Amino acid sequence: MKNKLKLLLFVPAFLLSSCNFTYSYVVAGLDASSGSGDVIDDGIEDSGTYDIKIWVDDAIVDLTRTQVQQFVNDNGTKYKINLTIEPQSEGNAASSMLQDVTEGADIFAFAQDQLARLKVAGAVAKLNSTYLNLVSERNSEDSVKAATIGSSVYAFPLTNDNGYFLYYDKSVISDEDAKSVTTIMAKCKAKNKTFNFPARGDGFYSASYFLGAGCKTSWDINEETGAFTAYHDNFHEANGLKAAKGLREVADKSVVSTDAIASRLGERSAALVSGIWNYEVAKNRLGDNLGCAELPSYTVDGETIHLGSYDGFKLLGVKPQVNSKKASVCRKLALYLTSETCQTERFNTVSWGPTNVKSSQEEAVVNHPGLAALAKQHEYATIQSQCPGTWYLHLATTAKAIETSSTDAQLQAILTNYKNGLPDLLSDD
Amino acid sequence: MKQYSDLELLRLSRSQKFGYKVGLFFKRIPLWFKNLGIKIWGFIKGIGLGIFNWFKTIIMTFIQGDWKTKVSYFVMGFGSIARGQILRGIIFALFEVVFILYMVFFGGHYLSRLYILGEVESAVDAESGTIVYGENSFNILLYGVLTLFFIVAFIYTWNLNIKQNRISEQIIKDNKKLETAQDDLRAMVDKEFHKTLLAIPTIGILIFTVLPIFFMILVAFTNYDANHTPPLNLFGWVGWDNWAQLFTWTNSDGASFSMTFGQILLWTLIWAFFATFSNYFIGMLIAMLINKKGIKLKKLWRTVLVFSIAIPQFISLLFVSNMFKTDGIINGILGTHIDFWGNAILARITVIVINLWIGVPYLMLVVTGILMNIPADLYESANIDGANPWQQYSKITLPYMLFITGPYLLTSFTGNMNNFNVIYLLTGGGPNVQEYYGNAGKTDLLITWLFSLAVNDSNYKLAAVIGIMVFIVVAVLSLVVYNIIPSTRNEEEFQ
Amino acid sequence: MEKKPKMVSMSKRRRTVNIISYITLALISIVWILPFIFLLLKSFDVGNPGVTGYVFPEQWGFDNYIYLFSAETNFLQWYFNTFIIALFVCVIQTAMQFMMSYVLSRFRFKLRKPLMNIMLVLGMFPGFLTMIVLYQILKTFGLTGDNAVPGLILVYCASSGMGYYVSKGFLDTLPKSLDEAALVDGATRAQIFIKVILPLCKPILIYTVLTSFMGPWGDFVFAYTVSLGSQAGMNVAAGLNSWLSAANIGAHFAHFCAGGVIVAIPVMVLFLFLQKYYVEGVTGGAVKG
Repeated sequence: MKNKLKLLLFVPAFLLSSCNFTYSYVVAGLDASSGSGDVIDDGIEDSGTYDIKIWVDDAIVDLTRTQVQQFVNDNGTKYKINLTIEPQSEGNAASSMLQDVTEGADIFAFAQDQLARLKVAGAVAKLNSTYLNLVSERNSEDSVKAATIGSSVYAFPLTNDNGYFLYYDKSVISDEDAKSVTTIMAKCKAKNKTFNFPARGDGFYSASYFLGAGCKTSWDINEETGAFTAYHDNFHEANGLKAAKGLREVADKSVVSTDAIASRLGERSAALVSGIWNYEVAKNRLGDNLGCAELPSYTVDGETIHLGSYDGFKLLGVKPQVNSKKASVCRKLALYLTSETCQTERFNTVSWGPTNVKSSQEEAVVNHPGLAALAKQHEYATIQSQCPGTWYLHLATTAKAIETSSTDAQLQAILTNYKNGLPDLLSDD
Repeated sequence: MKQYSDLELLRLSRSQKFGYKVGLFFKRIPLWFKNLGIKIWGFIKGIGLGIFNWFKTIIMTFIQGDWKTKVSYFVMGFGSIARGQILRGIIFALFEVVFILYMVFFGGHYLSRLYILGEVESAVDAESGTIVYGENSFNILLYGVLTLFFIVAFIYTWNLNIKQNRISEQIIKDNKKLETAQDDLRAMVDKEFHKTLLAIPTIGILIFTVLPIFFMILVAFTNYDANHTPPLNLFGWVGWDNWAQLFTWTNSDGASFSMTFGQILLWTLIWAFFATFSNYFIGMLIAMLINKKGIKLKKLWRTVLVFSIAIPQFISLLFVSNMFKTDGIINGILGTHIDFWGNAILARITVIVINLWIGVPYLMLVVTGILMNIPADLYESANIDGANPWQQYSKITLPYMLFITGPYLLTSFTGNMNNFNVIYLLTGGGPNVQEYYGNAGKTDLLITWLFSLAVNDSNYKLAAVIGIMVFIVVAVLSLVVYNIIPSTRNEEEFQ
Repeated sequence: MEKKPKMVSMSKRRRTVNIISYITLALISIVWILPFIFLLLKSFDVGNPGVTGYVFPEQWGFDNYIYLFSAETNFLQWYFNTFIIALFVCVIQTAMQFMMSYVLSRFRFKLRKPLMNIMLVLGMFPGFLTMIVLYQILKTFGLTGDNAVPGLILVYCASSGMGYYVSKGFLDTLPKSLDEAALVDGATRAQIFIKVILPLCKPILIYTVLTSFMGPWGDFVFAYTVSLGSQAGMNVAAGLNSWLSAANIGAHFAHFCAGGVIVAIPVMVLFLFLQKYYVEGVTGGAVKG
């Protein structure tokens, strides 16, 4: 028994000594060879030592670390940064920031639909005119709009690839077939394959039918508090009914799966509507048979309607700081991390689509099949403006309810329910 | 209603007996309420009297006590030190010092802000990207409640200090010897050993269970939600506003909170019922199958079943959840396109069935243990009487089982009502539907619903309301059932 | 002579019943074990790391396991954290529960009944509700984020006195005459507890240690909240959970399965090893309620 006990104590001791767990790095400038590129001089004297915590996606943790090192090097010996970089998915970053703003990251990447939540909780600091000008100058107009609430910009555009497009298996679906939902489904059915399209399960995707049909939704935000005060939404009108009818087509469960997974492409699944994050998996599955295209069209009562979508962006937020010097450094660092150099590096490493005007025009970016498909879909896309987070769920349940209805009257009733539920999404005072 | 004697009762048919019992149950309700009223009144009176007596003793002790005792009213432990009980005295004095320091430098401030939960707002400076945090409602509420706790503890200790003085005076008057520090230390491991043992667990429970629960109950009376999230924003008291939502049945257009609460509560109860009893009977069946005479490899069968207990649920359930996806392994094997998680009824059935996989092994173990305790001669005599297996089961095994496991069934029922893991890991509450408030899901239990309200929507005020309602439902259910089932036995009879 | 055919038919009947029983048991066992087989097979699938619909991988290999121990993930850190937590929790929690149950079983004092009732009532509140408060309390002590490991140990242990039921049920069955005899011999209460009672509690002690050791491996809600994204404080459940997000599942599902296997192994071995005690504890707990 004693020996066993010793063994039990030995194992953790061994583990402890064999793992080198460090997540903090001291990043200091090497020499005084200052001014090699993206150094902003806003006249604020902010040299010193700072503890900075950054949350980015797992995939770019190492890259970001070297980029911070570059930033410090570029500034000579001005800064010494005790850096902590932790992997945190863009979807979860907001929840964690809201849980505890003070202990959360100083700089963090998040999906654009979380911006309003973050603003209400005071987790993102407004950009002042200096930064606003720089950011607007360097990044695409849409990406800046994505970071805008009312008339102010609250974050630095990071990527433009958070939208979705069509992946398809060329051995089943020809480029021509991929232009219509009906033919995609027919081809899939003929080969006993599925078309993975979460239009009934996820509001982010359900919206494509409505936006395509010309429906509009927008929400008024009280700039002071960040609360949603009013909505302008016509999803329940005539165009919405068209979209609802179109959605009924993809309710055929024998062909359309709501699972947004790429891992079954080439086997059970022949087409998938998803974002760039599934590109590597899809490429692995299909190899040369991988086709990427803009979303297809659907047909309702003889009318062909191209599916719309949301242009999704990822943003980099800086939280309001207690220390003004640190606030200044964090902003500079965030600006650097979203600069042309860093965005291009990021594209080269993990194929994330740049928002920076210059790097998005690079040949490799333009020729990337996934990003190219997104760019083509861009024509039909709407900028994802700020709406309550629960709106997506609300729309998803609407799309889900369409599954079981057959008559126009039933569809209209569902859309009316949708409309009636909207006031609940507004913020209480 | 006619009252039957025991003998008459025996002569009644089964249905008559049932009717009689139901009638009796309802007849007793008014009496029960009357008794409850009497009890509550007695309780209030008891408290009133207690407080009165306490004040009386405190005042009398002050008047009758010597100067050492009188000083102890202000300087705790003074009397003890003056009479030579240094250790006790120092502890008392130390406690007072800590309390005063705590109140002056920390607690007093929070306590004084408790009534309004803060007014000073945070100031954000957009130009420099800086913030000056104002008051933090969350901390005010938390530390305010903590301070209240501390005050209660102080009053208790202060009273103890007075009592010490009184007793010591008495002992000295009687010319007896006071306890020395050595006596005290010995008592800690002997006569008063239970206090030593209880100290750490109770402090733990106080800080990590009682304090948080107190806090959350209070949150149900504030507007703590996404728009009032500290540290940037303040939240404040709103009285019964949140509760009004719970009892407002009509909502002009959208799905109402109260309706959704009712529906989810109903499903929670249905789920708990099926989860408990399906596990119970199938577990019993399997246990009996394994324990049957002539079945070999008993240990192997048991071990195989127990696998699903041994593996952490988050692994097994998350994996199983993916197995049942439309593109998962189950559809792959069957060659079908069944949308297990997308259809409300199917999803509900599926979670109940998968829950068998988690729950049956426990029941099998429990039942195995009890089966062995059923006196074998009962079965032998049943055999001689020619009873068939079904009769043996329904006349001997089942009644015995129900009698023994009554309390267990109750706890597993309430446990299933709060079975977060199974629902959250399998469906996450989905499929979400339009007709529920906040588009809650059809498999959502109250507990998973409150979780998603709190975590996804930061809607702590409504989560707190739901939490309190869960408590009320569980408490009422337990109270009623405990009074009905026969096997709530006196704990002393074991010893 | 007349009786013999009947006897044969009886034994024949019994045999058919037994065969049916065996078939049923075998089927049940297969159903029970199948998900674990699938999990195990998936963890060796190097052809397609996402969710798949087949049983046997197209390409076999250890890559998913190698990945876990590579520098690409912090799996080892999560695993180590969880192990440390489980180790401490099983000791402290057992101690707390025994302190509580011994007192409630052996001492009779004024506040005993109220204490038991209060704990019963407290147990009826849904625990998740208080998560955000616990986070804040731990933060006050500086035990969140990077220091989440001691923080989590504290959360798991602090209120564990409330789970005294099973061990009290066992202690109640030990005769009080044991205590009395020792008291007469001049032993203090503390000595009785440590020298007389505890040695007799071995089965239920092992049960308590086992269950409290298993608990931390499965917790992802508290662990996720308390660690607030810090890798140094993350436990294995919260860490593995992050691989199942929409963006990650396509590339990481097989890694999740491999991680699951690694997590399950020590817990399972320990469990199967100590199964006897577990059964005793569960049965005792249920009967004495």
